[in-house]
Amino acid sequence: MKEVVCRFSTDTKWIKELAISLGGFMRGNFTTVPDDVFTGTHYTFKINENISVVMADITYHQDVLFKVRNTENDFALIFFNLTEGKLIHIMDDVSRSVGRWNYNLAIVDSELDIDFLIKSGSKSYSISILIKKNILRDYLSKAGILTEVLNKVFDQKQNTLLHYTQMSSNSWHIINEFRKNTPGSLSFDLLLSALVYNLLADCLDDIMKKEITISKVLRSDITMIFISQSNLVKKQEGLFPGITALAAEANMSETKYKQLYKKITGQTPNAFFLNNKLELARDLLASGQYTIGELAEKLSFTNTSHLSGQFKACFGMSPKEYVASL
Amino acid sequence: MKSGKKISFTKDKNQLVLPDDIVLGCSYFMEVMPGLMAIIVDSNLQMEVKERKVIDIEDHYIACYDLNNEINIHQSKNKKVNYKSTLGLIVADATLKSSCTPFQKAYSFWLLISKSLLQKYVTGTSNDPTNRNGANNTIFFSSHIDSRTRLCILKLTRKYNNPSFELTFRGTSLQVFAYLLERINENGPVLGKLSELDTTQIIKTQTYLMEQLLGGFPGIDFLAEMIGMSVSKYKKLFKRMFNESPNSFFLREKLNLARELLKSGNFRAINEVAYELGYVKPGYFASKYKKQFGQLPGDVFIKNKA
Repeated sequence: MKEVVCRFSTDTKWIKELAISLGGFMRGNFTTVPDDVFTGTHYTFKINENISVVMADITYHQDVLFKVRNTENDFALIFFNLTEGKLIHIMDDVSRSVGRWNYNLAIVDSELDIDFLIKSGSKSYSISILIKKNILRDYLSKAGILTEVLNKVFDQKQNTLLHYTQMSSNSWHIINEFRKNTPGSLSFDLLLSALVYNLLADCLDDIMKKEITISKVLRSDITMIFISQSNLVKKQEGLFPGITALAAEANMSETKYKQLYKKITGQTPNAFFLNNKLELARDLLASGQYTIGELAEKLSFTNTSHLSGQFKACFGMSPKEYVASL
Repeated sequence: MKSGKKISFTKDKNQLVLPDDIVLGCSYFMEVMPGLMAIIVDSNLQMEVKERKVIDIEDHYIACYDLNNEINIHQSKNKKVNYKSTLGLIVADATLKSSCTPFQKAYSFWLLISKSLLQKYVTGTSNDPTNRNGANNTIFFSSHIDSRTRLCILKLTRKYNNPSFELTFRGTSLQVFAYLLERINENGPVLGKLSELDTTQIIKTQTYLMEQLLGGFPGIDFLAEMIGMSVSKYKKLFKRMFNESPNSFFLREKLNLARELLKSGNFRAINEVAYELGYVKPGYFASKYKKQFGQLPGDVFIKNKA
């Protein structure tokens, strides 16, 4: 396992430092590292003073633990990830994995230092946008978010920018379209800038649709919430343990637990639990080993119609239709 | 019927100042990056403007994308097919007055590109030591808008009211610019300067050819005579501007029209389309069609069942 301490910033010096600490070097905008770390294309481009972007189309050949230690905190990282097999682990203070990162889009404040581990064998295609917070603020304000809300959002004492979510199908489509271009070709930098603006636009639209939760997040909070989430996954066949029990487990008050959970994962614990359960139900149905009635029993639904109703609400078709469509 | 009007730009605002008598529905203007400006115009009320000199900015190239349907087909009662075929994309030196007439209808997208910016991206103009008078070369072409560019500009129309329009617009403009560069590099720059008069005249014959697509090729002699040029000069200039001979340009446009006619569902048989376009032997038409599109007319033909 390789361990690197790295920092991000909107200028591209950090990439050079990262390349060196991985035993590699930079040639133009491309970063090359020894083949036993990762292979593929790693491309950095500075669009202007305030925005830079990193495109990585790489396969990891050993576990790499990134310890992010930012030295500047005036920017945010927006990370789009099209990794096969979701093999990013979030680590706690003593580098133990606290759970897999089940999202493909992250907006993270530079103030927050997160450690993450990428497993050997991961094939990853990612676009990381590094953008100054004041520019982000400008865009949000032009989009019609009130100044007083923005003041709170960008007040470091009250709030940490943090948003883990699934990217919209539009973003996914834009990135896939972009993948057809050859890195380093004549118009590549332009297309990359175009991609960044299009993704930012899409992100902005998405943020406008959602409720903004304002709260300060510490690294230990993220660890706690991820542990709590992993525990929920372990108990997915049983009944929902209840907020009181979960909060106690995470050593937090109920209010704080609920707020942080929503802030970090974008969902309430209950919604996460139910969705997870329904996804399990779907996979088990597809395996053909269970009838719908048996499943309802196995997954602790009150009765078959409860399962059917929730299933339909989540996937748009009843379990019966789903089985028939297989 | 106005003359001498200009569209002026204020560089630091997203504002397009227009004479009041040309009513514009919606226009948006932005400096995307140093040396690149983009304008989108979407309107229904623009009055007919005959004047040709619209934009007067030195050291810039201009690319106009006319997003109205390039090929319109109408069929009148006596079965006579009328059509209008135009080229949607024109790229030219902004100082060539004749090159851009304002679009009379609806929806267009313009890029203003400074020469120094373009020079950076166009291969063979700056780094080629054999090409000493590189600064004298110009870039000119008119063509159909390729589908990926069209798609990406059309996406904009649905987003005027989104809070993120500014970002989308910036992104789209860069994308369109990148696609344009790829095409310019395929075509290569036009060597040497083009005179104002020559450009106008050559475009005149090109327009004439577009109007004559249902007939046979009028012949180089006729076209050269039409604009009072010698045959050899005409051939040379046409080829320099459009990278192909008048005849192959004509054939390509004819077949583009053929494809639209085949898809229009106005004909009972492919033979009818072939005759309509002036082909005597349908088999010959089919072979030409296949050569251009890689499929036979029958593959796209929609039959008129009435």
